[in-house]
Amino acid sequence: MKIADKNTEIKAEKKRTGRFKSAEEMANFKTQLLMDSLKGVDLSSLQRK
Amino acid sequence: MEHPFYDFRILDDAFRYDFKSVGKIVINKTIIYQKTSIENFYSLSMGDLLSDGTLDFETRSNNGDRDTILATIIKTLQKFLEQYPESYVGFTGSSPARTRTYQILINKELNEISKKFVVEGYDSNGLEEFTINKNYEGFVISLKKNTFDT
Repeated sequence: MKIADKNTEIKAEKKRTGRFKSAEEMANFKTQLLMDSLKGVDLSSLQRK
Repeated sequence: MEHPFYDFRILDDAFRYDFKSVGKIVINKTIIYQKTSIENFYSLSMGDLLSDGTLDFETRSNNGDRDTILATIIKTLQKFLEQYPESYVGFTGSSPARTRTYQILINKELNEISKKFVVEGYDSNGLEEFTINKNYEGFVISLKKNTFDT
């Protein structure tokens, strides 16, 4: 998903839910955002240098 | 990191860090490292703790202490990765502008950050070592393998 699409989705979500009620809720949302942005990205190259 | 940073409270087995941003006003902030569905891969999020108990991660505080907050985030990364050294921490902005801000901050501090951390960026073409002035959709930070060997 493109960042612009994600941004639209976030704004719609925030309009629906308002602010986050807890740190966990915020973290869940940010984690989902991160995972959406990682879709299709090959992470097999993650290696400590 | 040469910049001053805020003292923080380590909570929830080092998955949460609370601190006060002291600039034009005082803002309570929290940083959360949350497990993802990918093994050893955590997401980083930061938000403002508001007086009514809710959290907001989109507000631009403009509190005049951006560098101190960045230094604080880096310190919490160090603490988190000391505790969980095999982990990778990913983050992206909630908007293109916010992602761009993160990128500018990493550009600015890359020399210092890369002394201890591996910094990578990703876009639709994949993941690669962070390159200055290249646009990414998100970032992944991990500990350099030998950081705690000496």
